[in-house]
Amino acid sequence: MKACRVMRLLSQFLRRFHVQDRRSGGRIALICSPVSPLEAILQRVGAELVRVDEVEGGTQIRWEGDGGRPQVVGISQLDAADLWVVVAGDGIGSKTADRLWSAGDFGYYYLSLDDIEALVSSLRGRLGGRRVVSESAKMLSARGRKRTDNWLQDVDDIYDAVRAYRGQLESLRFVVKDDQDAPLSEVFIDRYGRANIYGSEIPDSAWEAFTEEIVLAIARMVREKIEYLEGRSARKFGIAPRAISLTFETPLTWEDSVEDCVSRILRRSGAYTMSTLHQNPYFHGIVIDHQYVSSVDVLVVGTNEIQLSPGFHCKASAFQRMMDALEWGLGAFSVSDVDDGEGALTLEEVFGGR
Amino acid sequence: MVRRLNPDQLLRQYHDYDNAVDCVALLCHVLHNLRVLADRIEQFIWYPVTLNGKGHESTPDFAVILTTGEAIIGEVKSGLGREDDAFDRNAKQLLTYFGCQRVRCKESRREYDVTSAQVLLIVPDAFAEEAVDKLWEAMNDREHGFCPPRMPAVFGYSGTVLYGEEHWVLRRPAQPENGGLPLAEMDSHTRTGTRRIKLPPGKFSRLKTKHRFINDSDTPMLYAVVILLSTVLVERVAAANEWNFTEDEFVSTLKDQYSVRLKSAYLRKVLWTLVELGFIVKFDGRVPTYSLHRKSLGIIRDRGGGRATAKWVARRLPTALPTPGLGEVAYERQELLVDGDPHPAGAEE
Repeated sequence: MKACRVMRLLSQFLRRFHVQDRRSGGRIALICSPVSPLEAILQRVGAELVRVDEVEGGTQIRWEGDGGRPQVVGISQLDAADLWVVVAGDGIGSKTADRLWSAGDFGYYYLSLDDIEALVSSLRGRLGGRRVVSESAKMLSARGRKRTDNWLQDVDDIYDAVRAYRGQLESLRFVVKDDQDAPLSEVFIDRYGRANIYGSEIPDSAWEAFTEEIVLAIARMVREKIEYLEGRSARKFGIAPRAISLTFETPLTWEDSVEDCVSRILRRSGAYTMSTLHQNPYFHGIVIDHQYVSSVDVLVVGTNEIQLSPGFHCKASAFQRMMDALEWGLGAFSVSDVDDGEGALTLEEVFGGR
Repeated sequence: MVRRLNPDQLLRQYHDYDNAVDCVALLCHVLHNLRVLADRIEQFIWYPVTLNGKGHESTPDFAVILTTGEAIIGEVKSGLGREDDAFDRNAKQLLTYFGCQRVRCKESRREYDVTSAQVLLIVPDAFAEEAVDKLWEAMNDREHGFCPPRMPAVFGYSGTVLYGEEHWVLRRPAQPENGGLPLAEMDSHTRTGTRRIKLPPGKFSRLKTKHRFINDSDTPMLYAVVILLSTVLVERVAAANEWNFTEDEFVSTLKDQYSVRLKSAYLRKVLWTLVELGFIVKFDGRVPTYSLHRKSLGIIRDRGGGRATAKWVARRLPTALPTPGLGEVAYERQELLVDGDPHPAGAEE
């Protein structure tokens, strides 16, 4: 019952800041941070110019923008796991909103193609639409190219197209249509947890569905990821760190040396230094993530397996940022624990062929 | 004469050392988990100290204690040395292991009595046959001081792609002179030289990231700097932006809190090197204090390191370090000149 109340409260909260303007997007963002993003946003905006009010369900920040347009931002904390929903209200363009979201030193997470697919399919059930048609989809491909397509087609085809391309879905904007092919509502969602729902008259049920199936579902996913990745460091020599293994769907192919490829992938997101320990027959590099002050060992141990082993200090954010970069560069993978290596080996396994 | 090191050579030593860590991790994994050996292996010791009858200590790379009281003393080398004196030094080192009567584990402090010891030498695969020949020759040369009770067992390591997957391979050269291991169950498989120990590195990588160092008394400074930078120092500045300490605190923190199994004198050298490299700031005083700041970890990025830590450090590693307690001491910066001898001391790790 409590969850239901939280949901309704959040739904009302989001609605308060909802914009009618169909052109702008990405106004709701889920931010992962141990402290409220309020400070960071105040710093960005200029603390002396704003009015901060506590409203039901969260905090509201108001200030006057260029030409006297009122600008409103709302911040609401979700239970535990340091997650906050930040909403940009009427009058804030998506670029300004993006700048506000990236104002602080927040945690890192991303939604893979599978995550987005799961979110959209659960939302579709709740909205009661017959067809879900994509309006636009941005794709990040394995080769680093970006494609924006206005495919007016079923979203399922989009997933397949992205997979066939070994790319990643960066953002997706789709319309849920009813039996008469009339649009019910339009939703935007992207890889970094930004989402919005559009429409001039959105029914309460659609609002609730959006809050529950998108906002809270993303929060649930992020929380699971953090819980899975946090606390794997050993913190001293002589204790094995709890490494994770990324198994890629398609065998890894390297255009050039693994070292070049890994460093190119990491360079894309910056704030890394890497030191190669081993190159042949397998790759082993130690990567220091300066943004999250963490270190991760990257071991390319097989044709479709990369192990990420945490250093003495490795935050979930650092893991996530690296996994995001690897997924962008090498395609989709599934994550599992590296087994502890204990277990009887037979002579055949050690000496024999396969 | 100050021996000048060039960055390529430093990087070669660094990779050789890493190979040695891999070899030890592989053997540790195999000997621990091979089912037929389950009741033959008492303990695999990653950081052993061997004591001979006179109580002299030496530190091989690893040791395996068998339930029969026998021991296998292991040493990984990147070669046995091109020059005679390098070879002699290495042969002498192996010889001391044969005299081992007790083995102590640095981690558990437990001691094991040893009835007899066999030495296992692991070298790069391409040198394996040569190493057997050389050792055999030295053993049969009366003038040479190398007179072990039995021929050491020599294995060659290499990495290769098998079945489309990377594997780490240990091969025993098939020469009849080559010594055997006191593990009949395994020996029968390795004796012919055709069957090799082969495992994908993913199987034993956790042992590598667990220990990172082996028991070598001569750890390359480059390796120590890179590893400590990305483990201990990252952890330190993640907890607090700044860490202020004295030399003794540095050594004791590393040893006690992070279980670094390197010698204290060596850790002091690591500290001075980190100061020379600019990661740590030194404040002179009656007792000099040091400071590590979160920002200083990023100097590689900021000073055009191209983000490659090892290469950046290799180019700047000082050859001589200031002696502590003497205040300002001039030290020579490492020069980027190739040493006159293109293969100096190839046997050293």
